[in-house]
Amino acid sequence: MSTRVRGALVFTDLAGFTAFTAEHGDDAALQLVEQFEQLVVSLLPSDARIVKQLGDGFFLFFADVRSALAAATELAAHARHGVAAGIPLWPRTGVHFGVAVARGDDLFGNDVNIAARITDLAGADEILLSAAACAELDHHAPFDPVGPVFLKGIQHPVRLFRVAPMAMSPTGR
Amino acid sequence: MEASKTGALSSLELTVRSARVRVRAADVVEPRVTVGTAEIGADGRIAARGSSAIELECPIGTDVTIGTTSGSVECSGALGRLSISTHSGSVRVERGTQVSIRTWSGAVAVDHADESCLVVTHSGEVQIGSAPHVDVTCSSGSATIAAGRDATVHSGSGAVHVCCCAPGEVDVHTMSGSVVVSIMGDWSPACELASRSGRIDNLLAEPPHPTGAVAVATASGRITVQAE
Repeated sequence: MSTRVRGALVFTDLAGFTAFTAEHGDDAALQLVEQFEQLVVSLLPSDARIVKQLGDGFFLFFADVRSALAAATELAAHARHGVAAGIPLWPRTGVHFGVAVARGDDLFGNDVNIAARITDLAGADEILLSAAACAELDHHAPFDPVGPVFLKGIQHPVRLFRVAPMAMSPTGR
Repeated sequence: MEASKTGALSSLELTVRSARVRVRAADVVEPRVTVGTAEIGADGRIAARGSSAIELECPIGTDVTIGTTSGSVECSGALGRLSISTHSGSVRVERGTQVSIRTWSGAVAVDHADESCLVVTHSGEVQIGSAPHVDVTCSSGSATIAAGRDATVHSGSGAVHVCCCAPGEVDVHTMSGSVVVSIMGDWSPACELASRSGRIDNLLAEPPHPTGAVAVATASGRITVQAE
């Protein structure tokens, strides 16, 4: 009997990482990933965990979307400070709410795949949420509609929203 | 979906898995499908069925959302808020108020955005004519902004050229591509330029009272800031 968990499924990785690795080499890339990892770990609340690390990206699980969004917003803000200090951290994050099947510490399932694919569409410093994730939040939250999007390998289009830049920084971007 | 004061639909939403899509803003009252097998619902949602091409005509200023996987998207005339996502295939927009385009590959060209233009692409070339606020993320394609004011660009390896026609804030980050920022008009920004190994050429005279700001950070690309 498999165990199922319900919560916020979050993927975050670094835009431009492939170009960074090609330009600076593997050692510098490893250093950048370690800096990113330290940042991600430092921002995780007690109800969240790293499910797995995939190269420059992280698959995270949060008990609820509100806490996931808070962490993602903090991540973007801290990364901007890193960029100001000359570290090219350009995180892009996708948040989905759904059910996953647990196998040991790992999580699987269609909702996990959706979360991963959402991240592919995000720009640098950007957070995208599925409609399922948005439904878990206050309806007046400042999200810009992206519209229904076909995600790779997912049969039906998924309606996405973007966290408005003004919601991520007091001065916008 | 919203309706205008006259009762006509003011927003349309088209999802089609694979088709060439054309939308034309024209002096009409109601939107209609001019090519392809599709129906416009009362809520503005358009269900397209297996067509190789979908063409829509809609009132000027209509908000349009398009989601597709492949096939080119072309929007002509003055539209409202535009949100387009596609995996591959080129995207061309003549005019919108707020334009948002996400694509995996395929070239993106936006002639004019009244308010803002956001483009996220992995490998396509990006060309933006004029827009007050521009935000571009491209992993490997080049990005050219012909007449911008505030611009944020993140580029992995493609060349970036931003032409600023009014004092604003330009923020460009690249890993390896070259960056050229051209200043149009009689003003000079404060410049903060950093490249780990690329050459930096700031051809502007240092202004006693700068207006606007240009910040460029690149790992190895060459940076040039010049008067146009």
